[in-house]
Amino acid sequence: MPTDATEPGSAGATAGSEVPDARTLMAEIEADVRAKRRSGEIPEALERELEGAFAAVAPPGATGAGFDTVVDQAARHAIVDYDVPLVGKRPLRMLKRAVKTLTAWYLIFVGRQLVAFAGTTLRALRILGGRVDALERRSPATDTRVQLARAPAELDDVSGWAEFCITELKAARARVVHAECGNGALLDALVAAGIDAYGVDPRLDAARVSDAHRVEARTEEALEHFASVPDGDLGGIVLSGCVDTLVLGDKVELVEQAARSLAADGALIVIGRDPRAADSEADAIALDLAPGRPLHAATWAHLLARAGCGDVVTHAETGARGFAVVARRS
Amino acid sequence: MPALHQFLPALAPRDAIGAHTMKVREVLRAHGVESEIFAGEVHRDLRSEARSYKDWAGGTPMLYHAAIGCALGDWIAHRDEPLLLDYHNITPPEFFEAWNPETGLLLAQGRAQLARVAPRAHAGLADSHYNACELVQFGLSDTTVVPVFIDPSRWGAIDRECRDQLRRTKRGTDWLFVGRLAANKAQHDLVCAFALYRSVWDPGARLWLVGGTSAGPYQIALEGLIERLDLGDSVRLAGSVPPGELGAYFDAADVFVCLSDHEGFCVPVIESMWWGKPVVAYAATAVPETVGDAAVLLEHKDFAAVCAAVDRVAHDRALRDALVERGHGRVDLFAPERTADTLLRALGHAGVLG
Repeated sequence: MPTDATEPGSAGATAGSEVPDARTLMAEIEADVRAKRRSGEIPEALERELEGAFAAVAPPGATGAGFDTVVDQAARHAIVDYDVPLVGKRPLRMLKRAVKTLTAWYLIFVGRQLVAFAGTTLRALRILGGRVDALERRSPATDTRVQLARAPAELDDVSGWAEFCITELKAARARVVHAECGNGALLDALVAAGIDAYGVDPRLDAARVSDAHRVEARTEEALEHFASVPDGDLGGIVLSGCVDTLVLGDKVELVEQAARSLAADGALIVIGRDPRAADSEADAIALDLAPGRPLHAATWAHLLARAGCGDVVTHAETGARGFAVVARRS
Repeated sequence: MPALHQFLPALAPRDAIGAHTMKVREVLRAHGVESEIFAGEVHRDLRSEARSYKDWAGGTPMLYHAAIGCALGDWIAHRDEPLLLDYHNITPPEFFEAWNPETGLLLAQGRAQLARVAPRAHAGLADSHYNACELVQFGLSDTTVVPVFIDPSRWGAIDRECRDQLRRTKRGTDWLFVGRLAANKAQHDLVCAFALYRSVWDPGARLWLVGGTSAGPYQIALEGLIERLDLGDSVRLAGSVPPGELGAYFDAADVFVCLSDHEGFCVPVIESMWWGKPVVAYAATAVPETVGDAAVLLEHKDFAAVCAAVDRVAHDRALRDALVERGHGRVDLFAPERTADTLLRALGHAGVLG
């Protein structure tokens, strides 16, 4: 180690105070940020500006731009520039000019073929893009018009299952996630019961839920979240909300990703609506405009078993409007 | 005498994989294993260290360092000799496609070659568990984690004039990141987070980005971003600097901040720990396992959270001291002697040392 490493500037240093563990430290840091945002110390406009600042100076397609932008970028690169720059000192420049003049007929001949190839390929790409657009417009999962027509979702409250979930998850040996955690009531109950749990939901104002319930909640899609969780990292998982509305392919993917993220013996609980009761639900608009439909409990049991989970048991809700299917990672 | 010859796309000075390869050769030779280096391209300063792979006579086990697409990769795929892979990670091409399409194509080619080579390899070595998992996905399940060789004896040089100048002009918290300018290293996110820090936390703060560039257009965009955010001289793109100058930056900085989106290991965080500098890092790819418990790890790249974490680390002496102490532990964990033992055990397990 260097012997003359210097002490950094340390105004307000707290030598001798206790160092918090990583989770507590992050909670303190996030609380500090929330407090600064609430007080207006962190200007909302500046944060918004910073989010888009790099995209404003980056070339098209560099910051996750769409298909059309990238094809336009390719189109700009598809034009061969025959006008070679003639830089350098006078004799060299004259030599370059002579070579340019002598080879122009050749370069133009070859270049035209390259441009024709690139142009045809780009045209094929645009036709393909048009067909994909048409397909997307016919799918409720991708049609932006359907997404815009969707009624603002009420955040689910599945706290009726709190006691059941606490029983199943109290022995969890690692963190537990509730996705989607809705209004945070079940998450609150889990944490109150001493379970190290956090929530994920794309619809919520995570800061508001965190503040209201003093729990950790993240604004994130459930599928996106599980994709970033290492294998076997979670002690337990509760899935609700999205399990009734995702398209079928995403539901299968969700179960597979969740099962992969679960530690051995960890419990995976799916809290769903019974599709036979879903028709009479009060929030018919939200259900009708959702990309997917609720699945039967037996189907969830099948998907969980297929994803490598064992001990699959189904519990019906009183009145049979919903159910919980619980399985364990074998 | 057993033999294990090494192959890599290019051997160049001041290149982590090149230095690792030469250290592996030293360890092998010290243990009575015949070992030479063969490369696709050899820098003129290193011609005494390696030869072209075309000069190899064949017939002995091979250790291939997979890093980028090259003719050597296709050549390796068609050899029959026992093969070991040492995977140093190939950056996903999408990080380069918009900035440097040629590099993007080479990276894509490298990944395609790896997919062909991995299933036929005898065993794999990987710098990190993250890399090991990727190698398993490429079809090589028998993979052992052997960290990249880090040689702290090469660190420690300080250009005192440069350091004194940095200290004299200090007005607030000084952030440092070391790594080539590239989209996967996300220096643009560092600049944005830093802009917020100067605006809300510390108007005297500075950000030093040390490292050459692998994509000119990315550097141009970064310069545009610095200008757009009106950061002026508070952000310095230092470029690739000699060891003494690098030492000066490490020595003068308050916090090492890494917001990389993709790292197969990330040697600079270990170097920062060696210099006794606390680290704040975004928990992406291999970074969490490299830093262990010796850094403040951010699960989300929320600029405000980055700033709050940096400020906490810079001003909470107890926290900083704890991070620095744990950092020294991480440096010890990656000491070359330990890595040499791990390497020899892995090679013994693979059965290539006779």
